[in-house]
Parts: sequence; structure tokens; C-alpha cells
Amino acid sequence: MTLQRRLALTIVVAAVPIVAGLAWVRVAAGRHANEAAMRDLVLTRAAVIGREACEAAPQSLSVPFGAGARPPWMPHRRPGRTLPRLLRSHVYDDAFHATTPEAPPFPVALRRALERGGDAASQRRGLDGEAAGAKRVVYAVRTGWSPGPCAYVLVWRDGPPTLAPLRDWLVSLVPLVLGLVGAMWLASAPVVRRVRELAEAMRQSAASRYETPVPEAGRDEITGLARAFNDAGTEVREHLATVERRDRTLRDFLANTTHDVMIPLTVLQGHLAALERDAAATGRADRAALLAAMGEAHHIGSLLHNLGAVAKLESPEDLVQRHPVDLAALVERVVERHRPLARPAGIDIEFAVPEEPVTVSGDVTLLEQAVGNVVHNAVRYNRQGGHVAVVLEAGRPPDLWRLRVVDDGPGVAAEAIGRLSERRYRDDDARRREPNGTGLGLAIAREVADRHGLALRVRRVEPTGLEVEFAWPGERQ
Amino acid sequence: MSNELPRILLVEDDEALGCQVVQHLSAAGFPTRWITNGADALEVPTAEIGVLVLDLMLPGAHGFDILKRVRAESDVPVLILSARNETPDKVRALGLGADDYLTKPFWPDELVARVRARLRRPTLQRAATVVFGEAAIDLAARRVTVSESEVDLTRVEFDLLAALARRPGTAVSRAWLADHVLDPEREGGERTLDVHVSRLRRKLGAAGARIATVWGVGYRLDQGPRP
Repeated sequence: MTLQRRLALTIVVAAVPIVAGLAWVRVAAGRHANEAAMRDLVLTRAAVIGREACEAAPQSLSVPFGAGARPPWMPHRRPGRTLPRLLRSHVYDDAFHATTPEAPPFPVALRRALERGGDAASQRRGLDGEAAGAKRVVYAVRTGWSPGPCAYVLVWRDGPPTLAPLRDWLVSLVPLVLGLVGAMWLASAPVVRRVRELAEAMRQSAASRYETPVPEAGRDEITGLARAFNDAGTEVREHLATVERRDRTLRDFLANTTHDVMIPLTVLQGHLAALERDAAATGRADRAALLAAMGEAHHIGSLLHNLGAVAKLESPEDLVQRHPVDLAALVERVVERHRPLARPAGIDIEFAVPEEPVTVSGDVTLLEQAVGNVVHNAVRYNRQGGHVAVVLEAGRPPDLWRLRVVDDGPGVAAEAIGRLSERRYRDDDARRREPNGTGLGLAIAREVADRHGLALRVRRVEPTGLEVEFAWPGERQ
Repeated sequence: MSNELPRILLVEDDEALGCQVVQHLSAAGFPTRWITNGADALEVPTAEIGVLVLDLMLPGAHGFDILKRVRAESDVPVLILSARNETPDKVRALGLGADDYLTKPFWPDELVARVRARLRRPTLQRAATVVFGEAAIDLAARRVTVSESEVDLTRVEFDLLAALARRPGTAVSRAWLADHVLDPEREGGERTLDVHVSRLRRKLGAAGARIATVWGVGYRLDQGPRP
């Protein structure tokens, strides 16, 4: 339903009870006026006759109501309207007994009304035995001559077509209601037009991804609506930009990781093909090729876990969870994960954790991935006979901890240390400068450390090797 | 060494992976029963489970339900195999009483090491006497003997050996030892620690070789095979 139709309907629906109430008041007031007029008529007559004369011949008060007598409250004749006539009248004593034998008994309802203290009462009904629906009204009037035989008078009136004036009145109301509806229609038309224009402008703005704002002319509520829409549009635009930026980062990262995964996968395939060829020819497999294949498979798993970590770090919702993480258990898990790779390659990997528990609040998956990346690098770029040590040390108090991953592998050049420390995985150009994605794992470790308020430090170890340290608290704490 | 290794119940729905895990656990000496359906796993009497190795995403019943049921009745070690690498899964599993988890992909040796680690708990040696080679250390009485004869150790030397003996087979970092064993008033530093270790090794004779230097970490007491 349109706004205007709804308003019109509301006006009409609201008018019905109001008109009904007014009609009721009008009918009641009319009836009251008739009763008062009849009372005045009877009392005037009574004053002319006098109490004594009346009590001597009570019926004298009832005349001259005869057929054709016009009631006094209808002074104006209107064309086409039948005038009511006074039919007859009877006088009753203070016990409501008739003073003449032909008078009917006093109507009970009127008697009660007078007993309640009224001067006059009426009922829209004839006497018992008269035809139902006869348009007659009976008036009862107190004369004030009580006790005595002239205490009350009943007057019968041939009723006028009683609904006619009400109908006229109702008909006169119709133009008023129609006028109201029309005025509302005219007043709301510009509002409706502006709302429609605003809706159209909103649709166009949405189609332009909220780049074009809707016009904010005027100073009323519709302008407020337009302004609220523009504010919401700005927010949506900013949100879209954030989501798109993250989406782009993730897409780039996915593409880069796919590239990174394809390389070890290709190497793995090469090793497997060589192994198959050697096994077919000699019945034996080359152990070095097997080890390399294992390393590549491990590396692929690590890359895929890093992809999950970046998706989590880049998510618009904060997916980084905070739970107490047992660092000793974490260190043990990471070392045990890499031992099967290190041992056959002749690399010694060891760890130490303090007797007392060391706990940090953080996301166990991300922290494990961060430490795992560093250990993975230390193992992957080590050589036969090399060492990797993972040492968790609690300070005093024990929540001041540091976790060191040390190796005696070839390490990295001095000038690369700074770059490794500053690396962000988002800088994918920079990432490509490092061979084999070495820096990638460390960049993720750095991001994880940042998110957890940890310091991540990278140092060269003399004569060769690298030490990477996670420490709580970080510098900014 | 006793041959009575505990029975492992493996619940893993992937045929190829389950088959491989069974092979590797059996090769390591663990009698292993393998169930592919979660609902079936709920039927296994808890008393028959020595170690539970549990995948989470299972047909029939979720791994968490199996974990809850087992934990309601028993304290056996439970190792979760997590394919999704999702933090909530891990936190929930540990909260429900799992001892540890392993993220796929994992190496067979890694799984075996983790199962063994679960069986080794608690790490801290509760026994009053720790034997290594011909030597023995009585932690309560603060006595060290080599081939039944008592060895005279300084306080620092004894504390050093005791610190290692409380966690035999586990490396202890030099920083931790220096912190907890050396007298901070008189001698600090890890160099001093090395001096104490070499004196201690000398006093212990052949058993002194059981104190292994661990590169980049510190020292470790190797118990070796028990006599």
C-alpha cells in the first residue's frame, strides 16, 4: 500500500468512531432539549390553570393537546417534513395512579427516571399494547404539585422521522472528511515525490558502489535520511576497500605460495623419478635423493600451513585466538616434528625447557607455526654434522621468557640480517629476492610475534650460523 | 626392558593413512588396533585401551565424543591427530583432557616419538635414586656412588648432577643450570659451569661420560639401557 493510500485510509478509519461519538452526543442532546421543552410547556399550562383548579379536575391539565397540535419545539417548518403531533395527555397523582379511567398505567421506566429526581423523562416507545415500531414518544413531566392528584403528566407525541436530522448531519460531514483526505493527499504528494527520488538516488549510488552520494537538499527528516544513507555508504565503501585490500593480499599470497609449492613439488617429482629409475636399474635407491625428497615433502607441508597462518592473520575478523599456551610442550612438538627430517640428514637437533612451566597467552597454531618456521629454516639450510638447538629459558619472574633457535649452518650474510628482520610477507617483491622462500617463514614468524607482543631478534652466530630469538615482553611492552 | 607395551587404539577413517600408521606403530613394537568408524570406537571398552590415537573428523561419531567418553572413565594418554590445524580444535581437545595433538602431515617417527613421550610422563624423576652406568645418585640423601663406593662432591657439583638426574635423558640449558645451581654471590657465568661439569665428570670416572654436552643447549644425563 502506498504512503498516500495508507494516510487516506487512516483518516477515514479514524473518522468513524469520532462521527459515531458526535452522533450519539447529538441524539442525547436533542432528546434532552425535547424533554425540557415539554416540561416548560406543561409547567406553563399548569401555572395558567393553578393547582387548586387542577386538583379539582385533574384532566384539565391535559387539554388542549388534541390531534394536530404542533409541538412547541419545532417552530420552523421545513418543506417535505412531516411535523409531529401531540396525540393525548393524562394526569397522574403522586403515587403514579391515573386520575381518569381511560389513562394507561404509568410506564415503569419513566416512573423510575422521575423517582431518581429528574423533572422530565421520555421514552421512544408507545404504551404496552401499542404496535411495536410505532413512531411515538412518551414524555413524563413532574408538576411539583405533590402530594395530590396533579403530580405528574404524561404526553404522547407522534414521533417525527427521528433519523432524518441525524442523516442530514451525517451527510454534511462527508465533504469534511473528503476535504481532509484531499488536503492530506495534496500535502503528502511532494513528500512522496522526494522519497521516490531519494530511493532512486540510493539505487544509483549503490550501483556506483557508493561512490556518488545522494543529494542532501533541504533541512527536514528526508534530508536526514539522505545524510544517514551517505554516512552508511561511506562506511560501506571503507569496509569494501579493507576487504578488497585483504583479499588482494591473500590472493597474491596464494599465488606466491602456489608458486613456492610448485618448486619443491617439482623437485620432489624429480627425486621420485630418479629413485624409480635407479631402483628399476639397480634394485637400490639413492639415500641422498630419498632424504632430499623427504625434505621437499616436509617443506610443502610447511608452506601450506603458512598459507593457513596468513589467511588467519589477514582475516578481517580477529581470528587470532588467546589461550594459555604451554611453551615447553610447543617446543617439544616443534623439535619432534623436525627430528625425523634432521636425523637422517646427520643434523643434530636438541631442545631444553625449564623445569617450571612457561605459559604465554596466544594462538597456539600461529605460535607453533612461527617457531616451526624458524626451526624449519635452521634444519633445511643446515649441512651434515650440523646442529640445531631450541632453548626455552624462563627469567625471573618466569613470564619473562625467551625462546632461542640456534644453528651452526651457513647462516646469512651480514647485510641480509637487517632485511630478514624487517621483512613483511606482504612485500611480495622483496620476498622474491630471497631464494627458496627463506624469508617467508621468518616474515610470518615476525607478524605472529608482533600480534602477540613478542620481540623477534635475528643474530649471526660466530663462526657460522644464525640465532633467532622470540622474547616476552617485546620492546614496546 | 619389558616387552609389555600398551595397546594402542587408533581411530582414523582414512584407509591409506590408517594402514600406514598401524604399520609404523607395530614396527615400533606397539600392539595396535585400528578402527575406522567413530560409532565403533564408542563401543570399545576403555579397559582395552592403553593409548588412544584419535582423528577428529570421523564418520559415526565426532572425535570429541569419543574423547569425552574415554576421559569419563580413564586416564590413558590421548593423542589427537588434527588435519584442520585449527586452534579451536586444539584448545577444545586439550580442554576435554587430550594430552597432546599432532598436526597432519606428520612423520611416522614423529608419531612414535609423541606416543613414547606420552608414556614417559611425568618428566620429572620422582625416584629417590637415579642410576646411570656404574654410578647412582640418591637425591634425598645427597649421596653419589660409583661402583658402590661413595664419591665426595662439592655442593655445586652435587646440585648440578641432581638437576640433570631429575630429568634423565632430557637436555638442561646452561643458563638454567647457571641460574639454579651456581652460587650467584661468588661465581656466575656459564664458563664457571663448564669448569664444574668437567670436574664432576672426572670424579665420576667412566660414568662421567654419561653427562653429555648438548650443542647449543647445555648438558644431559644419559641413563642408557638399565642393567
